[in-house]
Amino acid sequence: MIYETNTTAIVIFSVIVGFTLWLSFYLGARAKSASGFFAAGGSIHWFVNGVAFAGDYLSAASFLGICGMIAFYGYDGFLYSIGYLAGWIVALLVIAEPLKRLGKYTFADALDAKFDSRGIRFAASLSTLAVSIFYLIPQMVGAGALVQPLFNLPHWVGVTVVGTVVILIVVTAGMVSTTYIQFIKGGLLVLFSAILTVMILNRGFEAADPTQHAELMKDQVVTKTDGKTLIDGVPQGTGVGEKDLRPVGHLLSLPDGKQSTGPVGPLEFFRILGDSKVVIWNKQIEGDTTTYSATEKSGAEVLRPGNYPAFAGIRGDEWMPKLNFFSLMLALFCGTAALPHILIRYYTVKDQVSARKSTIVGITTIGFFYILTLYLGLGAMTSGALDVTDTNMAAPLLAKSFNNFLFAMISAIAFTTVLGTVSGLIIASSGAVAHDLVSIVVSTPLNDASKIRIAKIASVIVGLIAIALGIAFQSMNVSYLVGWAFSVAASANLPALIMLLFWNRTTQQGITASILVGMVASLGWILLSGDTYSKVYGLDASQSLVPFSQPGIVTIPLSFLTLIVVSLLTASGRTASQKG
Amino acid sequence: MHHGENQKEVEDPQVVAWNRRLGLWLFAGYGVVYAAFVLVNTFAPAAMDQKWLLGINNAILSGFGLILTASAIAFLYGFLCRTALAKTRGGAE
Repeated sequence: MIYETNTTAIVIFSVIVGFTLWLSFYLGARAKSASGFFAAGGSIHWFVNGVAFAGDYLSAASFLGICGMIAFYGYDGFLYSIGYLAGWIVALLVIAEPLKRLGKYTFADALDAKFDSRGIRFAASLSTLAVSIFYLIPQMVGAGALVQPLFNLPHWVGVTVVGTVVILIVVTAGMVSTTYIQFIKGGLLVLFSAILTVMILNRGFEAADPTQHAELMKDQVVTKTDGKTLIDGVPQGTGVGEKDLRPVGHLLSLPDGKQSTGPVGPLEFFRILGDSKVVIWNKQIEGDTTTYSATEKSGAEVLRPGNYPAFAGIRGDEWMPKLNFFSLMLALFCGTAALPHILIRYYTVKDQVSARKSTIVGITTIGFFYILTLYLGLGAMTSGALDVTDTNMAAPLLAKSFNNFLFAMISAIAFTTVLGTVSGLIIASSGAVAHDLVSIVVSTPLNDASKIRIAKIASVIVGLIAIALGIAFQSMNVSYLVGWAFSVAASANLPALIMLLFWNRTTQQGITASILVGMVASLGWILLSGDTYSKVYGLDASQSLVPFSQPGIVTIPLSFLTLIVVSLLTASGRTASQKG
Repeated sequence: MHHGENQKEVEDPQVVAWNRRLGLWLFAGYGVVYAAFVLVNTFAPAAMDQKWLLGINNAILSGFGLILTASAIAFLYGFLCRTALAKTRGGAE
């Protein structure tokens, strides 16, 4: 679909970026110590930290990805919301306070608090970098993908702008500025999502004119050849002899033959949609041609699990699709509490009570947002404004169906969403390099000034790598990389963390082995999976070497087992209890 | 906003033990509910299509229920932890 340059969105985004950069330079003077740079000196207020949790965690995958999945496939996107949020219970009830007791600045700090082991620091920092990079790439690609339709600028511009701004934010004031940017972003995201939801309910539903049904159900064919795009065989454009894609997202009928409902309540919304008929779009790719065809579905079908192609197998009799689904939900549950860029946020508050309170605020904020995603996605599905070729644009286009200011605001917030998450990831990565990896190589402890200098250099390098990868992966479907990050975190980090906290016989060798086995096993499984075969290698998924794509159900227990076995075998060494 | 050193804190071991047990019990309870949700979706997805309450299907009800329960458990944990700390201080006095 062709988009016009959105000047209002550019202005709003520029104001937000300008303010965050000013804040970074203002706060920069207060992050001169290593404690200040990596952990904001442990003096962030618990409420600010709680909302910053939301700002850190709710990435483009959550906002744009989930809303888009719900808009095009129905309920299945909400399963991600449920899984992502459930993982926070693990964080609050199992991890938060013990982690705060153990650590100083990084995830490796916590694991190594009782051992002083180079092996643990190496493995943990490697895992941190792997998870952070896998999480970074889709954010940067997302920034580039957003900048094209929203600002009418090339992909690389979006990637470079986001990367540069984030490098400046992190280098000037480290975790201090990162925290406040995430606080601002989290607050704006939840606030405007709530506003949009109220507007969806206030608008209610409207059925398409019956005389237009045939037109609404017509296929749309997109052909990309010789650098040109054809829509139904005609050059894409808005001039004479040109054609653009039709916006989609319609209701064919409402209950009792009504044409519109007027304002609806939050539960009435689902009852009415459940009794309506909706147009859903399917995609068929053949060479350079993609055909989008419409299907009429009942609202009841759309509001149940099993419509998204990867989840369709749960309604069949075969075991592998069911195992794949179960494995994904397990990884989502276990992954959140083991994401390094989330874990380091526990060190920005002063004590365990604050860590607990901030997690409670985070859970409430994130949970509220995830409930809103169901309304946003279904509202987009019936807005008549969707771009059939781009599921990520569902939320901004939903906003556009109301008015241009809201479209501009949501677009700017979507871009800022990337800023907030990427800042956290770069802080985590720079900490892994400056605080953990360097300490392995340099035997003499570094002073604060040296650590900060190395961290800033590492931030610049990681930021530049993120920019390069965001440009390199432009044309690939990279949403699966977020799943990789969760799988690696759940397989490599969580078992080590849990066993260190709750099993006194854990040894440093056990932790090191567990992290490395979890990381290699989960990555290896993913690289050999059907999803990667079809989306990355362009091969037939049936040729893959593993029976299903999500590794969690295999690699998480494997990592636990590795830790237990290696710890028992190395029990003559110092254990966690002996080191106290 | 003074961003000084991160100090290692020392807490009353009774409070730590209480919070830890409380956290694990609440986690176990939520884990059972989440596992049930995932298992039903995996092996009996047709159950999610049924409308049990308020004319809304079980998929949406259970999804909202899990999210709201997570928030409720978070507040309950925060409340009970504070109570434990207050009780410990009262006992010491």
